[in-house]
Amino acid sequence: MEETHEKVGLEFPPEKTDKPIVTNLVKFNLTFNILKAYVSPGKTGYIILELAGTDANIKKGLDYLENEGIIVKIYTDSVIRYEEKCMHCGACTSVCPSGALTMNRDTWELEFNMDKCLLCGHCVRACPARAIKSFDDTIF
Amino acid sequence: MSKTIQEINEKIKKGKAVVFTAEEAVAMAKEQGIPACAKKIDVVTAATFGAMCSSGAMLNFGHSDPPIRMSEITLNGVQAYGGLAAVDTYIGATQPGEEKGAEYGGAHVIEDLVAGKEIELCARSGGTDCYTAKEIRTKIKLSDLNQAYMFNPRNAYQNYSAATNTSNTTKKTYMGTLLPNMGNITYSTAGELSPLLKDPKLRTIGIGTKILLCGGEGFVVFEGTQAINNAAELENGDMHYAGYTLCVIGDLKGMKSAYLKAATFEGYGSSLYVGIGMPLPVIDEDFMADLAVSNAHLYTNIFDYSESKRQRKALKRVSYAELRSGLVEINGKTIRTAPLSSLYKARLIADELKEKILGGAFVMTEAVSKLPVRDSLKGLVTEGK
Repeated sequence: MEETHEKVGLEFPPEKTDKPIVTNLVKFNLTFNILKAYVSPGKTGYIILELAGTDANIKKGLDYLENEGIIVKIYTDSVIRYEEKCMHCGACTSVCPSGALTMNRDTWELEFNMDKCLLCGHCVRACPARAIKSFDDTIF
Repeated sequence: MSKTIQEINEKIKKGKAVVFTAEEAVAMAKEQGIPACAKKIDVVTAATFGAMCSSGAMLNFGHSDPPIRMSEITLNGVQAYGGLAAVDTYIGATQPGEEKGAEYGGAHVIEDLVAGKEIELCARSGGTDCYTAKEIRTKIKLSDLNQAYMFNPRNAYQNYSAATNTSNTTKKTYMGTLLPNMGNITYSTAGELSPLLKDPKLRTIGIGTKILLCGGEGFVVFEGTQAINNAAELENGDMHYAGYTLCVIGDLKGMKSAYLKAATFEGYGSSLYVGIGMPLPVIDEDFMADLAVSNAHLYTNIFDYSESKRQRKALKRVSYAELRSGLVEINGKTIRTAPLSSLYKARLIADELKEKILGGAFVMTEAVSKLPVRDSLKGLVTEGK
């Protein structure tokens, strides 16, 4: 079975933040990489995960989370680039730690590879044209 | 072989001029050599699109009724200069907004003006016998203004230092965010497409040279501030050019939003990305040789921007080909490089100017006066520590 990767944002209601939930994803044969987490007991918690597994298992895992009362959002784009604002200067590529944002060395246009994005958000503040919106902004 | 600008202009008017962008000219020179290029090509178009902090706009609002002698002026909450005649002002690109700071500064006002957006104008005055109004608040847009022209004291830097950071903390600079321990190198140039790197001896660019400024007609009006052109000859015979600059002017009303862009440099301030295109007439073979110099033979120095000194020590001299490759080595460490100016946009400008010349819509001007040679820069002596 082919393995896919999915970046998901999870919102934990305050009463759920003290229970072990994410760890149970391993029961669905999923591996997860925590990209970002803002969790403290008694408050709404947020975690961004990269899930890896088969499509069917990812679905099972996400169903489990929803049954536990977790709000799940799936991101198909981890940063949103406003094409009309982007001037292809390349400033964002200088701070991108994973090589998700790179310059095409023929056309010198900016290219974005979602699979490599770690959601660090450095590009958002580094963009002089303010043409990048972090997907953090869309959930937090 | 030599050609005059008048001869070339005659060819342009007849639709017979041969025009190449500087990048195309570099490629052709590699294939066919300088003499063949000098013979064939009439005009080479050079261009740049980068952050140019010393930019701004002169505006005349016209008089209100009753009239006011504006002394404190804001445009969308960004202060403009109140020390000119009653309703004249200058708004500078790096002026931070009173509310939004660098997120909306002078550059953003200029960008919004060119985009045709409404801008809130507030002005105050102590009132005089002839200008009795003490306060006005109104909305203006570009078409409402009598004159609105960009007047940029320092643009089109010939050559600019690349930046890195040897300290162990992140530095937020006008050269972008510099990661600790030489985590990145940033540079700003159009390289072999850049106007002043193609005419380093200022043989054709002079006072009065007509250019494309932010997509509209503009002119070189003077040397730019901090202009310096003391080039150094390297051991291999290549030249390492200094940093000549140009003062340029152009009507805001003829500009295109695609060729200017307000910018925010985190922790530094606002700035304006300015697009400049320049036609360079191929007057002789010597000049063609300058026009044909490629990125592999154009150099800059990498400086440590964590060092807060006027005279920083260069870490390394690199060619623009090395910087463009994406990786540069310093002291055994391989460091990623990133551009800050947009070569993509610069190419669009060079292409657009080429098309205008081919279509007869842009003819060249003779310089009315030579630009001065500057072989040194003065520093500023301050009192005490």
